[in-house]
Amino acid sequence: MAKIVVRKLVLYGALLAIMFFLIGPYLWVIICSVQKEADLISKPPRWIPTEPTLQNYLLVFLPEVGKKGQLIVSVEKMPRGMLNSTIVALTIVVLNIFLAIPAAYSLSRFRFKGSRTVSLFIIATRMIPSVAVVIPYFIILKTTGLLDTLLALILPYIPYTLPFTIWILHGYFVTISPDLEEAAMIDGCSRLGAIIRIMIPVAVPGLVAAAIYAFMSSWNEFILAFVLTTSENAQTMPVMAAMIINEIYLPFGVLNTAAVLTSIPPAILAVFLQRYLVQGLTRGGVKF
Amino acid sequence: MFRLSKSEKLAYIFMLPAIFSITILSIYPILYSFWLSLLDYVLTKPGPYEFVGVKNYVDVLGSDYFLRSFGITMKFTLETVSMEILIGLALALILNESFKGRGVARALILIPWAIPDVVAGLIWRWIFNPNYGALNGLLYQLGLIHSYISWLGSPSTALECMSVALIWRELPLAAFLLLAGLQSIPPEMYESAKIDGASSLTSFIHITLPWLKPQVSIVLILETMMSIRILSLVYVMTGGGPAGSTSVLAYYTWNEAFQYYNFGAGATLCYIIALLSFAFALVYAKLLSAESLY
Repeated sequence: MAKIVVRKLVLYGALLAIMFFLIGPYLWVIICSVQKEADLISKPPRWIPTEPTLQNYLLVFLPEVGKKGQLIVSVEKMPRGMLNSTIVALTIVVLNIFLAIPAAYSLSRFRFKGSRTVSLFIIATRMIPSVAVVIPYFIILKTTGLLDTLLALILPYIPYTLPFTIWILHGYFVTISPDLEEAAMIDGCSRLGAIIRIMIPVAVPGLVAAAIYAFMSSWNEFILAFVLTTSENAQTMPVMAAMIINEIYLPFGVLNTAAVLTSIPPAILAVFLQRYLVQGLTRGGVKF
Repeated sequence: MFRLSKSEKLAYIFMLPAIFSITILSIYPILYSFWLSLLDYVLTKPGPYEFVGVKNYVDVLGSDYFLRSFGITMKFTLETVSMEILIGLALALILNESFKGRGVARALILIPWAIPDVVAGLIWRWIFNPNYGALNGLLYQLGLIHSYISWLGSPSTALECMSVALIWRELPLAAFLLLAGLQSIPPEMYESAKIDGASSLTSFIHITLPWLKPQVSIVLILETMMSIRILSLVYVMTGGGPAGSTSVLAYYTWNEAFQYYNFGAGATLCYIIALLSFAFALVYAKLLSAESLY
């Protein structure tokens, strides 16, 4: 009996310690984003806000109302940054789905000449570091005049996300018995019809996982976006958040607000769709 | 001449769009980058750029900066990857138990991994702040320090701080991959070990650890690549400083390419980083699969 109690105590103790380390910092940034500047520079820190305020968020979204004599240029561009990030990430999700479904289907259903080479090729491209393509992309896009456009981000993000999407979907497709499809085709479905009616509905969890993963990867990407964009025309949130540290006079509340705004979409996706994400990750990640 | 069967034809048609876009958008830039690494390509100089063969490689590999960043990168990689595996395994073992609130814990734990690494950098930069940071405040209130410490401003602690930030971000992924391995262990294996009188420690060493080998190798490969390539954390937290103490390979590369506009040397360094991570992946794969043969 005592042994079980000790075991439980150790378990909960370790869990609390790790949870404090993992959740504490993010919680702290959210708290700081609604603190008054005076509370942020108090010693010791004010752990629980006494007078929470949305002043910092106003500064970003309604600068005319939120601004009190101060001008923080980089912050006023942030709504545009959120829009850029959203457009790029959603475009990448759609492109991924359309390119990956047929490819993953082909890999999981057909044995064709070179099918092993193709899967190895896809795994290998997953390993290419984005830092290795950033210089050639910079030169190519500069010559074609595409630097600092949303297309300059969408193009390199396709190979950045696609291999993993194919692998997640492949992981799901191979678990679906070909008999189901054949039965549908005997009943008069075309192959395309069978894919749409049989494969896709069964693979929905995989599609969700792949879509979230593609969204997150492109929303979070920094190196390529940092080099290939130069203004609010195409800059994404991580770039704006990183550049904010160069601001000479920067209230700490604004810094924390930028961190929250940059991270809130992926954070929400991770918390609410965690089940899909983890399932897709462990299938696609382990079976490669 | 061979003729394609109908299904083979279909297979190729289905593959084509994906393969085509990956080739054009990824393989071509990679090859182009290799070509650049053979040129004396400095953007600020007028072209055409001279072909210099392996000169960039010789210069880069022989420079003190390279050796220094290489050393820092290796130290950083060793620290982060080993801690991610150890704490990740502990977390996976905990999450594999049943307890109240497990669902909530699992959902929240994923946040650090899901958010941009730039934000991870901003969060930890703020926590390590020398004047108003939460770490200083906490340690001071607990009576562990008597005056605030400039964590990121001192060469002896800055790299450690970056390690903490990266471990924080990568721990959830490591834990979830290892957890998937734990969950695939058939319970009968533990039961029969118990009947044979094995303690939980012996069954952990003889059943759990060997079973987890594939997951451990995946985590090792993914996380080593992550640590070798890390740039955004450095940019946001330290800018390579103080006194170059956090100037890892990727930061050195970025500096060469986009501060000095030496694209030849930059491309060379990119190739070295890519080869380095492939080499690590191969070594891990070899070590772990060779062992599992016995």
